[in-house]
Amino acid sequence: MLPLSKVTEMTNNVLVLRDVRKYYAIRKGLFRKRIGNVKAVDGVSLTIGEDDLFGLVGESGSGKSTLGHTIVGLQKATSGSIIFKGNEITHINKKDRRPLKKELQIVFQDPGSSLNPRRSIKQTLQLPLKVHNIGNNKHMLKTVENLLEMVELPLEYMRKHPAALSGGQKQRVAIARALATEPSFIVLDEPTSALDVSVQGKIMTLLLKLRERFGLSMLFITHDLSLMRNVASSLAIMYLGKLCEEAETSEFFQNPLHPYTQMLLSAIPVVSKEEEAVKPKKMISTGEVPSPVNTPPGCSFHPRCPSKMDVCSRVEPAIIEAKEGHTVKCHLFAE
Amino acid sequence: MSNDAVLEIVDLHVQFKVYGGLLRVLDGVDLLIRSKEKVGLVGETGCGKTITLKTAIRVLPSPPCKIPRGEILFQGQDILKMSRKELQYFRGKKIAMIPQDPTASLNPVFKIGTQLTDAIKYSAGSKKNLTKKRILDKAIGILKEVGLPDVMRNMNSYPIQLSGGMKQRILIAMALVAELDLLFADEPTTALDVTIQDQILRLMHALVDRRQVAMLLISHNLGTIRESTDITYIMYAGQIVEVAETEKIFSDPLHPYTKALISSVPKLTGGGISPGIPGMIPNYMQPPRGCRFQPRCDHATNACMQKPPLQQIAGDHKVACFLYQK
Repeated sequence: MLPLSKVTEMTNNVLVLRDVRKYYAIRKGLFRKRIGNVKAVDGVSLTIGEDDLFGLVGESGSGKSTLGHTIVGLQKATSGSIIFKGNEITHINKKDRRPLKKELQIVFQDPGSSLNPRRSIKQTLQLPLKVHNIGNNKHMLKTVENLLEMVELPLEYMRKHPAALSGGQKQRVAIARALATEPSFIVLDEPTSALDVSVQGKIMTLLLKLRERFGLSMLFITHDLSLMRNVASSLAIMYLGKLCEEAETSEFFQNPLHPYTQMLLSAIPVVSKEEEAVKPKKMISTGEVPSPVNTPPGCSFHPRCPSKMDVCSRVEPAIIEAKEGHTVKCHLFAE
Repeated sequence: MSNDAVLEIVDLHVQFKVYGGLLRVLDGVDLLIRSKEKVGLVGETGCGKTITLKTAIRVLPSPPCKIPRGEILFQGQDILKMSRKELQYFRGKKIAMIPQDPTASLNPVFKIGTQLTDAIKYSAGSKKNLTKKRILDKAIGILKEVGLPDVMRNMNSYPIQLSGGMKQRILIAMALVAELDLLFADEPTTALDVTIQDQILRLMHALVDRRQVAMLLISHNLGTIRESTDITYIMYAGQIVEVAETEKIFSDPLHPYTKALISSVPKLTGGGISPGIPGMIPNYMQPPRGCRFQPRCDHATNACMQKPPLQQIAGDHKVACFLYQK
């Protein structure tokens, strides 16, 4: 069991984020004075329930990966709280973090650089078992065999090194490594964006199968809305460190509210007429994502927004519940 | 050969001699680009798209590259038989290329303005009529045309100071300084976000239409190809498996590979995830005999051990598969 550092709430929610911020200091001068902040994650609150596959969608630089890294503890949050299975884990110390790491795993975007090229697949998969003292040598070998079977790789691959594997196979190994400690929550940081569509199909099928088998909850970080349409149970859009819309998948695609969501959806190149019909009407995308150092005042999206109002450049919009379970951060929907 | 053809590739074979043996990458590629036409070439990683393009502008080092057979006719002249000097007449002047990764394609130690004016000087050929002012005017004009904001300041910046989308605009500007007949675009938007991708594609579309340039767009993103080309070629493991008008390919795909590829794309309408295509791309050292898709194909028969010819089915729709042999 987890060490209970501080029990804050007991619900079915696996992960709760409350106003999580991650700022990176910009320092200058002899005394490294703090002259500004890169606001990578700027006040994100969300809830991921059991068996959820939560899609977190955003463009590059929106802070989605930083948020994922903050959740698994690769980055320390500047403020806010991260509650995992009822336990506050934001500022947990090193000793208490270790058992937590068993439960909370991550799969990175580029399998080519997240696997150590000098370790054989067997060594790579054994490492988490050794770190967490799971079983003796004999048991370990059995576990590695099971893991390879789980991700549908032949057992001879144990002796191979990452260089001998294709991109899809490497990602399977990375998934197997994340599963080695039998976690209950996995952060997937763009696990398929380096892969071709036909390989993406295979990896996604595998992930969904594993999710069902082990009852995993997942946070799926991606920029691919079409993919999320097909796999996510609910999703959120992130822009410049903030969530601008969140809803269950079917509701989200039937009724996209935020102008940024609509811009994203209408920019997706699709492959059939039926898909074109479900896209919001063409919205010409303009401008680029501003720097997270000097975020625009008010709503951070207002310089690119086609339905900008006066108030948008002055007041930051509140998060509004437009429908039950569908929240949006936009003045257009204020009462 | 039809008269309005800008580029015609006939039965092109490209091989690479490496330490372990011979990589037979391209296996009889045929491709035709007519003037003012936008042609798309789609395939997965490692299927030979970029090799085709790089062979066509002769930038592959030889050795290891070998071209045992094939012709690449640009406006009727065989590029493969040209001398270096003759090539210089075409490259950057009649044919230009927009590369995939804008960050890796600009020199980090020179200012944008310097790199662009170099391109202008090169494409002009002779030094006649080239005053500093004229070059500068042209540079400013073209940067405005590609929609770069704050032109004067950006000309004085280094590539690292600009965003990916801005760098891609500059590379488009550099490709378009000459009076081109043919533009190659090698995955020009793969490194960009969807909203920026949308902007860049619209820009390329507008420029290509305005200047009446023929374009070959390479991508692995089927949606991009569908929204920006007239004709689509589907490539698998160094072979062209299907050609048709873009609309036709997507509404009525014939080749088993094309079908599998299109159904692998996650749809915005939902319907779940397709299981992908079983197996993987072949090893070019020992490619499968005949149709190279045959080991992964559900419909494979003994006949597939021979290479199926690219056969006309209807109009411009051609497919290389024995399922459709008459």
